Amino acid sequence: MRGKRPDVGAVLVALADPTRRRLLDALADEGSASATNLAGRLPVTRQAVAKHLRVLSEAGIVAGGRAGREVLYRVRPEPLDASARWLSDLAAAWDRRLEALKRAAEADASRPRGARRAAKSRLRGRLARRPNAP
Amino acid sequence: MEIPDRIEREITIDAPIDRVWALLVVPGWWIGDRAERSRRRKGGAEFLRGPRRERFPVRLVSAKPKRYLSYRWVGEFPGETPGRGTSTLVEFWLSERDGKTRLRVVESGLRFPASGEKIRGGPPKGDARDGGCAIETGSAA
Repeated sequence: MRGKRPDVGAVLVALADPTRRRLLDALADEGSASATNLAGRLPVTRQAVAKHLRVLSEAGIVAGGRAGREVLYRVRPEPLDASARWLSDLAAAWDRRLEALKRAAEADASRPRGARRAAKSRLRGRLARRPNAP
Repeated sequence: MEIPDRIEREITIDAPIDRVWALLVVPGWWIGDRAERSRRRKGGAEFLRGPRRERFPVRLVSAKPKRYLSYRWVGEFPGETPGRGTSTLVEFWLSERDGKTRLRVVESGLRFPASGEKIRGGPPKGDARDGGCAIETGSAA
């Protein structure tokens, strides 16, 4: 109902960790870098970097490619953009729902008791006519 | 680089708090299709039909009359039982000032519903009832 949401959850999980966010920022700075390069830039071990890179790769946020004997990683911005878009769509959906609620409550406020039940069904009707998909 | 796992919105409504409350307490009012409301209950959840006939379980978590209300729902995964790992928490806060109502909504726990393994495995036993809500209610309050 919230439209396409390929890997937003995985992206949010990946970004929940502060070390991974710093890693991603460092990688964005570098353009492309190996786990060893990245470990040199951050106060974590190469093993930890490799582990975080794996999580980021699984979320589709970074991609690694062989370059000689190294694996070089780079940021893939698409899933990040998609996640940000999905969140702003969700915010817009709530704005619409709150607006509908506001109209129902305000129309209701000036009316006698008998009309209140009608306001509830008007609220549902309004929301139903406008699918909640953002 | 940070993407939050919650949405927070606010609105001022020119109506007394009890009118707003009366609309808010209808489970899943935001899904918006009263005619399709299903009477079926499972794990304390009410199943509602969306505009495209999807089924959305919604479960009331807690309520403090005219002040606070929270629901769990499974907007992403129609048919699931709301619980930890498969649902998001929707919370409403109300306050009244000069006859107007300030309404704030927070939908949180967005990063969990999408972790596919939890969905396929279903929520842990007994989870549908307690839903692990205390944790998230605490952090979001």
